[in-house]
Amino acid sequence: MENGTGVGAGHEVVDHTSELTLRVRAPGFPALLSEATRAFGELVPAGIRRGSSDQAREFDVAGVDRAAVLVEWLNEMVYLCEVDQWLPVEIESAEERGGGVRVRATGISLLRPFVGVKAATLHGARVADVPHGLSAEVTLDL
Amino acid sequence: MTELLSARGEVAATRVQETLYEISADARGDMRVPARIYADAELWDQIAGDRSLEQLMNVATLPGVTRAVYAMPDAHEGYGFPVGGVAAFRTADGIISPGGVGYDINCGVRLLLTDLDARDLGKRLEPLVHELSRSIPSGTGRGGKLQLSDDELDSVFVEGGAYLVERGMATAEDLLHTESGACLPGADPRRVSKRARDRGRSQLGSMGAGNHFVEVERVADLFDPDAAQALGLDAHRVAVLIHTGSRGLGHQVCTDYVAKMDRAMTEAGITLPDRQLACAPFASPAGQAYFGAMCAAANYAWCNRQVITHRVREVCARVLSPEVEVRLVYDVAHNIAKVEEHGGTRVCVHRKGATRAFGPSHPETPEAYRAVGQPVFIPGSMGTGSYVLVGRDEALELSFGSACHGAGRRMSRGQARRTRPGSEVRRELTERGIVVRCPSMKELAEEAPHAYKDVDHVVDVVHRAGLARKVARLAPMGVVKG
Repeated sequence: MENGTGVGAGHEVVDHTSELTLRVRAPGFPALLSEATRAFGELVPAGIRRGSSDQAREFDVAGVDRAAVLVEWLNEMVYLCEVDQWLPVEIESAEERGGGVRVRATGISLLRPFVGVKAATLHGARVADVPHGLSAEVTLDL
Repeated sequence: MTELLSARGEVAATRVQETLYEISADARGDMRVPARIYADAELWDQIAGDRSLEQLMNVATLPGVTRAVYAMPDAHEGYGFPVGGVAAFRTADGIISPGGVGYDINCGVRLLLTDLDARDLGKRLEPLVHELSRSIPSGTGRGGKLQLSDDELDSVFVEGGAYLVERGMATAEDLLHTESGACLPGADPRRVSKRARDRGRSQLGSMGAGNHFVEVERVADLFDPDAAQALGLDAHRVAVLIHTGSRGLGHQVCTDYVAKMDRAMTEAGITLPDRQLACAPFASPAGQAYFGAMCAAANYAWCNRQVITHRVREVCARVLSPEVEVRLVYDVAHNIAKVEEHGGTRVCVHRKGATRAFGPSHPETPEAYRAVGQPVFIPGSMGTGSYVLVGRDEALELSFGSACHGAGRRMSRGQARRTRPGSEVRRELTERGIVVRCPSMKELAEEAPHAYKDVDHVVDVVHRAGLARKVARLAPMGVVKG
């Protein structure tokens, strides 16, 4: 499937034998995190979303490079969906700091835990410079 | 001997036996040992068609790797290590790698055997399957009935199955019939993060999603009557097969330690062919921390399958008869790293999507099975069949005492859904008399038999290669999907 919002941003979810790969592109790294957030959100069934967006939350996401930060953020989402029953849907800000990013996100409550994704992996994870922005790829274990 | 190229064209292998291919250690400058692949010509083509061989060769470059790295007949591409991969690293100077175990630590299979004849089950099959689906949480989002405190989690981590004997959910005989007595002694609860605890706190006794299942089976075919008798497998006997692992707790342990080891390696300027191969020396503080957490997760997984066993016994007593016997034949892991001695050397054997298969002479084979070997279970897809095998002493030399773990997917979930809708899959299974309970038609379509490789073929190669001996085939009567 292919989707996107904003000029130059978009994503696709590619189905492999036993996992999914998220392919994301965006003008900059904060926008890339936003797009990856939307791509992950598509995996959460509509039937378990409560619907309304609630108060923003802040997260410090660490990683030795941008690929590791992206994987770490997606793993944060795995945890939030499974334990807090909270799905981040929109990133209000993503401020790059030394060794990571401070993310401020709004989200929605889930009716029950979402455990459809075991983890985001570092297998083939990459964030690369492309004309007019960045492209990234992350594989999710299901 | 025939020299072959993989489908991707870059790997040269030699067919050294009918069911064994070898990539020599000098095939690539950084390999330390050869890579050996158990397959016939057809399975070789499948294995060589993705990145499994490249991944296996990557594993052969890691420090302390010994003798050879192996791919089982059901091998396919994974993250870092291939699924269906076996590798042993010296504990003195070798590594341990979370990616070599996988996310679902101690995912495994256990077989329960009843004293009922399938021909007598009749109309009781449907309520039996229905009650199993109600009593064993499955699918996305459903946790178990237990909510564990940190102290209770620590007991699960350290004591493993013995903790459930104290709580009345296991018997002493259950522990004797579980790999490692349902407890790895190296567990260190301090190495399990709060996040992992949070994910595991309410999931003990639950199946999870994906290819996990609880199936009601009947013993359909006997290939080795003597071994079948030793295991108590008579034709037509009703059995229950359980496939699940350490749930979110194990996933988080893997996530935590892959990230830690990746960070340490990047900061040290060490580059690996795949970041998911991140590892640490086994004897180092980082290696021991992961080992302690992995053992805790493995013990949690054995407890998970044991709590499900307890639920199966409750349901059988309620639906069938309070007197019905539900005996544990064996429980074996297929995603784990264990310290073992091979050829006089202590090694950490990584089995990722591979089952331990010790023969009759091995001291860890349970006493009840010393005449035949340790039971090995190889589940097929929903609606096909599953196999019971026993380990062979020769497998210690052939594969560090390992066999395969399943049929392996051949289609993506999306492709499976597009090929045949869930409603059609359900109708086909129902027409064959198989009772199915699955959270949704979507999941039913994703786990349909056509989405998996032919388990008969995979098991045949395991048998012919001498990794394990075929004993019996189980046919499904009822399926509860995760």
